[in-house]
Amino acid sequence: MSDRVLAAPLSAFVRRRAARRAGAAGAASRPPYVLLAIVAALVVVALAGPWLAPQDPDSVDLLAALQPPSSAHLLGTDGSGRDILSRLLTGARSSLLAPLVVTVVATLLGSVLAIVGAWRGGWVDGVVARLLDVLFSFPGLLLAILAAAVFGTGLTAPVIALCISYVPYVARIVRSAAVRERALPYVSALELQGLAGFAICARHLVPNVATTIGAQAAITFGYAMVDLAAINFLGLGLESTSSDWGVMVAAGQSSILRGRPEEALFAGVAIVIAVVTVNLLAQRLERGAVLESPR
Amino acid sequence: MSLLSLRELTITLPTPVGPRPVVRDVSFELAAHEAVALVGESGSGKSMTVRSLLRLLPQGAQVSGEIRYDGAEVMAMSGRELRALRGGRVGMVFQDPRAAVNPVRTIGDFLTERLGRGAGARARAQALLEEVGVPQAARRLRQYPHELSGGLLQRAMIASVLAAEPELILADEPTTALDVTTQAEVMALLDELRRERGLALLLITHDLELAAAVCSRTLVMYAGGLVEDCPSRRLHERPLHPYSAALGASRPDVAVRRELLPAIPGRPVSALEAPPGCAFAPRCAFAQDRCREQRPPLRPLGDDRVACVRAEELTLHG
Repeated sequence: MSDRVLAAPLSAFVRRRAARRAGAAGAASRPPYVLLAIVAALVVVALAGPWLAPQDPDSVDLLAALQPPSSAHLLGTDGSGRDILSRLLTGARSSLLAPLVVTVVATLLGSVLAIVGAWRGGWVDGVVARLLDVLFSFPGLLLAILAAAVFGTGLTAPVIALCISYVPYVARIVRSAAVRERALPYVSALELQGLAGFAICARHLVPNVATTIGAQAAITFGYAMVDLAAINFLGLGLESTSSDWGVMVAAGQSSILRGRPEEALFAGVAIVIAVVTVNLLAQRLERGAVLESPR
Repeated sequence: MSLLSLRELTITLPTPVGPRPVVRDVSFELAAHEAVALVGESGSGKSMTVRSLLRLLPQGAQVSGEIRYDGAEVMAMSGRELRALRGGRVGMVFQDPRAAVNPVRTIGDFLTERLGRGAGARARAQALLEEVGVPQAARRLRQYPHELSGGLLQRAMIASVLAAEPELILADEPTTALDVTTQAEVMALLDELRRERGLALLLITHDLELAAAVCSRTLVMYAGGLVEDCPSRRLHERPLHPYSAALGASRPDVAVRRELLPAIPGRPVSALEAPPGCAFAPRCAFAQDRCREQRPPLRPLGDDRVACVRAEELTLHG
């Protein structure tokens, strides 16, 4: 009798806990709609920014300088009276495209190096590992600043420098995943079916480490965006009249002291939203990769 | 002319204390259409020997001796020749089918990997699955490895080997990962296919009865070396090497009621830690001083071969 009395609340407790755990798992497996929506919005703005902008982002109106947000200028105006919203929308392209280029190039190069090293092993892997060590020893931002100093301003030199300096970060992560995958018996089984190494890598190994590559790419995007914004902020990248978000943060500095932080603030917020969204997505991908990894 | 011939195969692996042999002076031949079993305890070098036949060895492994397949030296083959050998003339069935199949691809993808794309390959894969006794083959092609039982998956594995129409099948404990009832079915299937198609088979197993049932000849390995090579039937009745005899004696027999099964004293040693002299000497009931001095070579004795200096004087029973 007393057993049953005790058992009832206990089983209810267990059920509740199980339900909560199932709920948590359900939440984790639901696609991150909000994050995806933000990314979609960023893509749209990057592609169609100039047409979405309500006003000409470069039309100077000194009489309307440093205005707070109003119905005419939704996010206010900067020190030259240019509409901040229009500038943010047009600046999205360079602000997002440059890190995207860095991400794509670094991910491709890094993954290829990592997979070749993991597949061949032996001295090839040794050479790749040493090469990555050398690249690791250069801080990315420093290399980019150096490149800008040597080759002059503009984004090309810093983007190339960042492409190179992010390679080892991608390669290190992908290599460890590829080495683990390479050691699984099914890869030997494929070798014994007479498949060439390239075919095994392309059709089996790469798809099976794709989640890791994707997560690392998203993280790289966040870092690259911040680094490029820093380069633009320092005036080493795009010229100061550009509407790039990093440049806008720098240009808006002086007006902060005059009580109008809008330009620097909103450009900073745009950078933060992009970086945080992509990083959260990366986290979701990573967690998925951990959950999915066999045994 | 033998299909496969090994001569003084020695495989050395790098260890923290320097290179050490894991397989020592293994020589044997396998004729076309012949079925040979390779038995021995875990760590005796069976798998390593068989993997070396297709040059699937761990990084840093050094191979000396000769591995000839149909007259061609395997260790000297180019990548292209090696792939032709692996995917064409020799097939391998693995111990754990679940580990040997890419878990995120369907069975159909797995089977058509070598058959190419298209409806023809699909139909061929389905026919192969039916041939190895997989029911509802069309549905199985769309399923993932985790949806199949171990037995079915091993059948699919065998189907993938048959797809290449090989002359020789290497089977590395093909039934160890399966449960007992499916073991018999899968083994019967492998045996039947082999006989029908006239394939050669090199079967690694722990199971002496299985070896005798499927293979005409049995090779016994201990600590990286061959200790006996004789017809499977003879191994049961009158083994030549004390190790083969001890292995035979430690099997349970339903006809004899015993409190305890006889066991071989000590533990199996790998080639890494084998003592000088006969590797089995420390555990052997018949060992003499001369056994511990020099490693006895595998020598011919009648039609068979044995690596024991006292083979002539001992009369052993399986």
